[in-house]
Amino acid sequence: MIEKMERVFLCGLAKDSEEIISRLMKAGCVQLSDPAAMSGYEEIKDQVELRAADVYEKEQTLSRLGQCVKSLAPYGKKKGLLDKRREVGFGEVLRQEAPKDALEICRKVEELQKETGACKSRISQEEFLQASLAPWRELDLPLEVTGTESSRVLLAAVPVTVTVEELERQQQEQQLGAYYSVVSEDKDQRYIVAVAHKDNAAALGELLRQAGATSIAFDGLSGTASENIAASKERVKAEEASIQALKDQLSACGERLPEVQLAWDSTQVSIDCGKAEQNLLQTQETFVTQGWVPQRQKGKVEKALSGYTCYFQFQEAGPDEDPPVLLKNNKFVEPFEAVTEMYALPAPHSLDPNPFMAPFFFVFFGMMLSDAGYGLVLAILGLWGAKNLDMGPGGKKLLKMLGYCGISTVFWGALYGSWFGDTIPKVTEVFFGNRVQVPMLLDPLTNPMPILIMAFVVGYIHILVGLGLKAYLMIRRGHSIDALFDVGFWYFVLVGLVIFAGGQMVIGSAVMASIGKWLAIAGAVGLVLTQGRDKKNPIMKLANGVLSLYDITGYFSDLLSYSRIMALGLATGVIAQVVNTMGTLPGANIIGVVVFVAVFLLGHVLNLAINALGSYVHTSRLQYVEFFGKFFEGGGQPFRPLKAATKYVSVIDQEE
Amino acid sequence: MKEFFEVFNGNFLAYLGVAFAVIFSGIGSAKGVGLVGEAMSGVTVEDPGKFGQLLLLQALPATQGIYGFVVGFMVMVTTGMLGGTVNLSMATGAYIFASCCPIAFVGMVSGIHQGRVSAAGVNIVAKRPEEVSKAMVPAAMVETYAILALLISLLLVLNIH
Repeated sequence: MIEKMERVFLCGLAKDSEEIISRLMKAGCVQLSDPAAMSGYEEIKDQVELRAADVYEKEQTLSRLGQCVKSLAPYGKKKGLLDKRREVGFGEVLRQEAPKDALEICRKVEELQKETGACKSRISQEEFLQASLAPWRELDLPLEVTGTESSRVLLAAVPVTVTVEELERQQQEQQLGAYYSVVSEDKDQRYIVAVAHKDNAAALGELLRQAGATSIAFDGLSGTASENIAASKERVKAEEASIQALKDQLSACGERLPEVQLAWDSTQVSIDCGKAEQNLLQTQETFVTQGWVPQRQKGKVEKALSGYTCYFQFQEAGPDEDPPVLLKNNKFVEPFEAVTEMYALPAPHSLDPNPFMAPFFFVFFGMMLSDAGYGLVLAILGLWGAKNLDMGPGGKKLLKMLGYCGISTVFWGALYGSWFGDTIPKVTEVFFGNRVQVPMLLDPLTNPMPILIMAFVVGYIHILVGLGLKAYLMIRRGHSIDALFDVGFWYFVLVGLVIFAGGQMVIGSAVMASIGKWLAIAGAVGLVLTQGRDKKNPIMKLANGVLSLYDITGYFSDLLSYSRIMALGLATGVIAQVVNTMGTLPGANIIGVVVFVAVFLLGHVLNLAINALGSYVHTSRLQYVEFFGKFFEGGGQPFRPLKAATKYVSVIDQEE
Repeated sequence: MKEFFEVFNGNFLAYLGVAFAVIFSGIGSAKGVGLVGEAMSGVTVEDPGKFGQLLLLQALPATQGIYGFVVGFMVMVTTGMLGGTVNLSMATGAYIFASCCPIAFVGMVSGIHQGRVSAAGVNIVAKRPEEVSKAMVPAAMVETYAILALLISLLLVLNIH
């Protein structure tokens, strides 16, 4: 069901405003909305102004705290799968300035991070230096020596394509009297030292430059290259040690992680309060605002506001207003809401499909997975997980739904006699020499047709229910005649055809067949006469009417789409059998048992995983395309009441 | 010529059918799963937390190969190939070959295309992880045809006598 929403108008004293907002947040059932949409806004807009609550600074703090949580996460206490979030009272997260201590830790962590960054960048500088010195490792001349009184030393990197002989020849041609020595060489360059008389040094430099060489100088370094490399390595070691020391300090902060997380949550809550306050119109002394509240929870709002000097009133949503959408269903249907929410929320004045969709989802999923053993696993994991894991409301819903679907799977699996495939007959046959058959009503492998027909039957009902809901919406909106024309006649055709086919082929009753035939014909005639009713031209009217009969192919392909129920069911069963067959191949000996256990575990886990996913996706598809396509109107905005939305702690006295 | 017909007999056609079912649908899934895997890694680098959701997307095009394997295996079970040598007539062999064709060819094409749709869905997970099911449903649309092919192949195979 879509919960009925009412508008609430609230007028109070400005000095109470923050407290009132906090109290409403605790009540958790009001969504404040833009007051400019309020009736009567035009008349008062000159006397009031919108509350400007500045949350920018808090958002900055929030992002700093978030970063801090991220950096500390590896050092804090790990949250186990079964651990619940820490419970705190509402007062602890509400209107707390981010605590000084937490900010202090945050600052310290930031500093440590910054220093670590600086160390890392110094290390990469050292590594760069080492790389540039590496070719000169063999040079035993100190790097600061650039010559003697009458000679000059040049260091240069020459492309390998230029041979030393070539250089030698050139310098002899110019009579420079230079001396070359190759220090090292890699795949691109050759590193050479050239010595010449100081008068010829410039000419030599020019010669080398023309040969494509780059001259190299190490300014500010003294000692040989290998001494420098060793010294640089020492410095890297020192930097690494200081990074480790910083890391130790960071890790020491790890135990204060919960404080930072709490600070994050309370900052988030205070931002949410600030944003809610942006919906207040205020004068010097008073404020006025409006919001949405579920009709059922009006009492809570009344109670929450009773302690304050304020005026409030409720008003039902008009037909042209679009209140936010909140779904409320019973315990069985509620987990299935997740399926609809993933598609879209229903529009405010339409219909919640969940009560109708849930039973079909339940049945289809079971028929697709159709193995009692897998069903048991899903049911136990899903229901246990929903109860014990701390996954937030969305994850809980999903687990619970899987648990329910597991129950349905057990039912269908038992019907087909499939418990982890044919494990029981196979194991008893191979290991005990006496095949024990599991009781079954239907054997999908020897006689698959009844299952296919069953799939079509549930699909047929699914389609009729979908069409029925379309008619219901039309009638509720006062278009009963259209409902008869657009849905009623199709009911005649679809039901008539099935009665005809049943009478003709299954029961062999001519009376029934002719009832069905005439019902279908009556429906078809009705469609021809009415489907062109919005056209003016009588010929177009008739043509449109006749063309509308073509839609029968749509219904036919919808129906055929349900054959996937049977195909996926068969696939699960056959793969399970394959697993068992492979597992029992080595036979009844000790190796056979070991192989069987291994293959059984691996194979069935894999089959369960991939087929549960397949069943979920294809069941959803049948709902989205074949069912929702008939009547669903999406586009509702979710109801997001003001409440303490915390991430790391759970607030025990937050009302729902 | 005589030798040719000694090899090209009913058994050969049946084995060919099994091979086709497994090979082509396997190619489809291998390619499809590979496509999604490539697309995944870019997102995983940025946010390793999305790995679980991405794995769901990658599993979707894996099914065609399994369907082909199922059909192939069922042929082996129903004809007794698992037990050792078989002796099938030309007509039975041809029947088996034909029954394997739907899942072989449709499985291949549907696997590749489902992979492409899922790989595009990786973007949805990257930007709006809460909408992962909207990435999965379009992929399920592509799989429909592989399922129909599986259905026909299986029904035919289960009718072998």
